Amino acid sequence: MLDITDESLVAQVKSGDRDKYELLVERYESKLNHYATRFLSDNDAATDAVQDVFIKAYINIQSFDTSKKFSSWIYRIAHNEFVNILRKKKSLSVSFFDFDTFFPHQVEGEGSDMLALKREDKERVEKAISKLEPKYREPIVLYYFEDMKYDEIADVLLIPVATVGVRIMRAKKLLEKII
Amino acid sequence: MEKIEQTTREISEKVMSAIRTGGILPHSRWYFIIRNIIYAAFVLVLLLAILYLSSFILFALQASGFTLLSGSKFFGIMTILNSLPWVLLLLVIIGIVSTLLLSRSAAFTYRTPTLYVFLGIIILVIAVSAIVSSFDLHKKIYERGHNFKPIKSLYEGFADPEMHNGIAGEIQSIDDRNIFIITPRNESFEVIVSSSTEIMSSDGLTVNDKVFIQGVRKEKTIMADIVKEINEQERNMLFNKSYDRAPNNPSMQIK
Repeated sequence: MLDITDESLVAQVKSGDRDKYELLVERYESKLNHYATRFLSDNDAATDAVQDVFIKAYINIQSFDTSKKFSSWIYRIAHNEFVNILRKKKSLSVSFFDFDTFFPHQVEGEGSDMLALKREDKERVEKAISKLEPKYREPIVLYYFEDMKYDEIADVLLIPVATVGVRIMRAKKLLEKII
Repeated sequence: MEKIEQTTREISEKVMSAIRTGGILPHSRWYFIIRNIIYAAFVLVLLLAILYLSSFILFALQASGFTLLSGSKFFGIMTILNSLPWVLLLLVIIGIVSTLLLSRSAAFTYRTPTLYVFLGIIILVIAVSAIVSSFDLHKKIYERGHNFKPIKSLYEGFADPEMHNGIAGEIQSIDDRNIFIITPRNESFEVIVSSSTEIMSSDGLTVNDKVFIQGVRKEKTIMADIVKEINEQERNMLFNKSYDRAPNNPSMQIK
């Protein structure tokens, strides 16, 4: 079962084999739980939120295009769910336009130096991450802890790839100050 | 770490139990097909509304005589503030921003900086509006819909020069101080020319010249700020309430 892709499993769920959804839940529950715990900084809210993510993903499973990546799709659902929770808690302001996404940016891309730095920074970052505002906390969580690339993060957050770079760069500067 | 693993087992059990007992049912494929069709239709209607309004703004600027005043010394901030259809411009901007928000989930929009997408939509809207304007679409809409109150109010409210203290006519006679004109609707006006009136004519005004007058009207007299000589093409661009009804003055007839 391990060699079956997520997308093949979704195709089977879509055609009526609902038990295959359990494999998808097992593959992502730990990852999403970590993502939720770090992003929401609230363990109890994280558990309920992840449960809701899987329920919403199942309800909307027929809308998933199996030619695309399932991981980006479920992380996108998770992002929406978590952002809604933060908005309800008033930890995140509602804004229609984010100037980070409005203007084009020229940012250093992902290189081998940065990946090396990633491993060294991980522990320090984990300690300070809850002090970052959600806008900067989320790309850091996805990049450092979910091992996503910039373009994958862009697909989850629906922002330009360069904006992902800008937010990670700013978040790192903020973290340096905090640490 | 152990706690997280235990939690995830609970999540899996709860979710699968709800699915197996039929407590959670997925939406059908048709639900998403119909939803996408409604969504696409809504975006299309919104885009058509933006294109209609923006092409109408271009039409109104020409038809109201706004563009004729661009070379005048009176053409400044105040003329722009008084003459531009701000309400319509605001509606177009709201429409563009709404389109931007609605199309945010499409990869080609969110991967590109919002500024570029915004400018792209504006360029597209202006280009299509200019093309639409060149086909006299709005004249035809007014011709056919002038008995329908919303059409009448929109076109006469924004495009009629008379709503902006402008009027077009043909010079009937000129005396020492004033000009007498007749409009396409056979109305006669005395145009009072003072020292502050700006005459925009390359070779001086003579009888039978077609002119556009900007100034405050009081009954049958107009205190002229600007008297601009216009050619047949410019005259045809101006709004005329009788586009489809033969005017009494054949020389002013819109073709």
